[in-house]
Amino acid sequence: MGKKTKKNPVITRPTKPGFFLFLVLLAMLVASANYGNNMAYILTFLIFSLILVVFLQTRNNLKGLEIKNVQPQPAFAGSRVRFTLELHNRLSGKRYGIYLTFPGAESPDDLYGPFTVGPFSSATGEISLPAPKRGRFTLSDIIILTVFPLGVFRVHSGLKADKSYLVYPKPGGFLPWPEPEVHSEGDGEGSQLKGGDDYVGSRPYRPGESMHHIDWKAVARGRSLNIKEFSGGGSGQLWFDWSKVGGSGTEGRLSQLARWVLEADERGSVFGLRLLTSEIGLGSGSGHTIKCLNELTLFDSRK
Amino acid sequence: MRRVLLKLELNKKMKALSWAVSPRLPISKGSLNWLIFCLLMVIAGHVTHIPVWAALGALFIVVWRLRMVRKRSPLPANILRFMLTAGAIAGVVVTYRSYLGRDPGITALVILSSLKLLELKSHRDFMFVVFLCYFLVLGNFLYTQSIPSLIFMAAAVILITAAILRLNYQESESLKTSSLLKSAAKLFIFSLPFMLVLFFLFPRTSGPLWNLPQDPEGKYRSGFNDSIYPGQIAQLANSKIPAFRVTFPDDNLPRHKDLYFRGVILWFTNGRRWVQGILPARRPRQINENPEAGIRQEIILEPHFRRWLFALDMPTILPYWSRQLPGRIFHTRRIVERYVSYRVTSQVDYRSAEELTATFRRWALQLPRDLSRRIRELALSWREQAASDSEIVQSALDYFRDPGFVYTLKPGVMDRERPFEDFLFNKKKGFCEHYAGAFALLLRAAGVPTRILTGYQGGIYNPVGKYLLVRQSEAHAWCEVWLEGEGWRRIDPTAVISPERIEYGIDMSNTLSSLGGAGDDRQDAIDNALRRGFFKNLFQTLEDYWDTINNKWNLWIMSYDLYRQRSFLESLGIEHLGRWTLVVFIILIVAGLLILFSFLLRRKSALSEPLLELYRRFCNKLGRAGLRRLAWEGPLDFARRAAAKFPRSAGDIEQVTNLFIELRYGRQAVDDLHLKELKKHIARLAPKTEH
Repeated sequence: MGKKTKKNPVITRPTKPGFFLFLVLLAMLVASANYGNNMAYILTFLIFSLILVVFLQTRNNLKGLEIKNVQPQPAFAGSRVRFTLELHNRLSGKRYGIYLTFPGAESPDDLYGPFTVGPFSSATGEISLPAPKRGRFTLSDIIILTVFPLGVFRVHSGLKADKSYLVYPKPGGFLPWPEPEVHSEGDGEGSQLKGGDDYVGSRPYRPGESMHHIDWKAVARGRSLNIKEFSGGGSGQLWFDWSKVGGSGTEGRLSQLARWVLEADERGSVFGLRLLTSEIGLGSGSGHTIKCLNELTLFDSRK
Repeated sequence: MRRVLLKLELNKKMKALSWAVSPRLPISKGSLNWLIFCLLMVIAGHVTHIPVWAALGALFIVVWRLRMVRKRSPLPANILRFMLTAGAIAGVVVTYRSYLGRDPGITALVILSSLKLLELKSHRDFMFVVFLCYFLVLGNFLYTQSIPSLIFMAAAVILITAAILRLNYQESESLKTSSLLKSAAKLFIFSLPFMLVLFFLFPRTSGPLWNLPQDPEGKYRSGFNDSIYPGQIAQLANSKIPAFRVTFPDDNLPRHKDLYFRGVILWFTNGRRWVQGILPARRPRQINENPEAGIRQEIILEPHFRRWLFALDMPTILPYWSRQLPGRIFHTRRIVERYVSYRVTSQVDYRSAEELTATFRRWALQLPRDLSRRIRELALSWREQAASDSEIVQSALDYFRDPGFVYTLKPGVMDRERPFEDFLFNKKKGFCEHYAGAFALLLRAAGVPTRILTGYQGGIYNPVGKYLLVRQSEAHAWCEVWLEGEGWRRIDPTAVISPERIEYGIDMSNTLSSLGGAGDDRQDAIDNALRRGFFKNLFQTLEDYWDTINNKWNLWIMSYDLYRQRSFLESLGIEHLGRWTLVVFIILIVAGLLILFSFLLRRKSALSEPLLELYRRFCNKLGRAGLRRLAWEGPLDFARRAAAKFPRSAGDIEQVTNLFIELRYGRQAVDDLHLKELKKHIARLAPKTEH
């Protein structure tokens, strides 16, 4: 029973030019009838017949097209999430003017394409959709759409994608870099840290940060305000702690934590993430960062 | 139920895709060039219909726009475009003193469509110009509906389609003009069956939906008016424009001298002109006596912008939709402004035994009060000598036998006030209307009821299409006199002066009158004219073919209207179909065709992929030589086995297999070049076992 309903319908609608073409044909038909002009009838019916054949061709243009390997790319709330995918034609006939979009698209700007797919072959494509909020989402369908060959009909069909993807919290907040925690016990982890006051580099000053770390000498040489950075910040451990990010609501806190995580990843620091109920131990590298970002993304849903 | 609901919900979700989500195609240089070319072509079709300034203006704008495309320069400012538009409209109004009607409309359309090019930026503008092109093609048919105009239309539609295709292909690849035209032509050919179904079945209206303004000029192509005066028909003697074509379904074409096609009866005269007058019209009365003598005719009448219908003398069965006038002539209800085809039956020797009513007798004896004294005296002298009306007729004909009377195309100008007197007693040179008019005046003066008929006499038989072509030059006027006990009898005074006109036709009498001469010379000239050389024959045959095509065209396309549609459907065995039934009928046929075409145009699955097809051919070849590929056997294993069995062909087998594997599973894309190579190897393969 379920098998047929799963197949997404192919929907054909006239485009705006197509709609106006119908009006034009209607006017031509009235003119033909009025003048009793048989040649005018022939022209009118000829164009109408062309449209009928184009109707078939437009629908044919989508036949046998499949979508494979839908891969979401990392995205932060407020930006767009990109998906790379493969458009495969399992039938004959070269396909021109194939567009991709997502359910809920509202303007031609949401269309991705045109793609051309040869017979029995594939093309790579990419679409992106808005990611206004953080969390886990599912892209149920990708809409495949065409108006080829004459732009008179728009044929579209949803192809099952069922791809879940994460939208990370938007990095933000203005809190200063957290002070490293000094632990008296457990030297094991601390020993991995780089030595106390090693100068690592400099980065632009952000308002709200401690004035102590500003590279005043550089300022004197006429450069902009920079912060001198030192790895480790002593022998302490770098922890991004939910409870220490006060105020500004859940999303604001997550934003702040995400910014720190990203910055730490950029600097190559060793850091840990401590949320209300969960904790990710100290670590570094992209795998660790992604783990932390995932934790932040799914934070609310754990409650 | 749940399934339906689920489906509905799914549909709703998918249909919710906003109307606006449709690609806005960028206007590429290539597509713009195509469009401009199309516009140029459809404007060229109107060059003879529009004033010179409009044609030159449109050409200038188009060339200007082409330059802009080439140089990628920006479009002109709004204010300039506005001024040009206003100027063009003013030009139309000044030229025609009107903005309504065919010619001003077309002129405005031509200029505005070229001006639209100056603001063409978006997909929408592009399609707008396409629509204007369609209207311009349609506009052509307000002027001509000939076969060449059909060819022009087909070419224009294909080119416009190619232009839209060019836009839709975008820059996906370098497109060849030929492949674009091929796609457009393919679309065109596929659409023809639909077009034919729609054309023949779409319900026709019996008349215009609303009354159209008539264009005054160029409407009166017909030979004669509803009145004649001396010299009028003679003007037509060289006009080769067809009047109508007659098919005789029973192949019983009458002799040339019986080919009198009745048109109009002229009852009244003022001594200078003969006119029809205003006559009562009624439903046609059919005569069913002696039906086996009937000559059936199918007549396709060219538009003459009058109402008359023509038929062989004497029509017995008239079209049911026609109107009959006194004297068994008939006409249409509406002015004939397009081709009309009708069926009519005539009996050549039909005589009506009806009594002449007092009204008709009065009409048939009407004379101008100021009738010339000499005509009256001549007529009365016959009356005195004659015992009966038929003797008077004879006297009149004998009078015309006087060698002084000449039948000529160039009768010269008669006296304005008394043209017939001038003709009878001074000039004695006349064409058919002179003889008929003078004859009728004389007979009426002698007291014999007489009327003039105008119509056509003769015609050229087309052996290719098996029909009679009657041209304007065959226009003729003759008389009918009422003889007691006999009824109306046709008397053609022209037959006395120029028997060749009636026996052989107008062309012969023209030839003779240009030669002059008499007696044996005349007979020689006739024989000479009847003989034809090879080239003249060939030319005549070609002309016959072309006219036959035109005739078929007129029959099936030009004259296809409500009545023709009815009889066409009847010939298919479908009768009494209502308008809406017909529409349902069309929808069913079109749907059937669509299903058929969607099957023809379907996308094929990989099974018919050429590469696999070639490999299958390879396997079959080896199979025929005695080595079958096993179902589970891979290409490499099979090749190994084959190479062992056919060592001589081992090289080819290996090459085919390697190429196939590379194309099928490797990085190499399948293209024509590689397929050709594979094909070559397979063709060369000649597996033979070692002996």
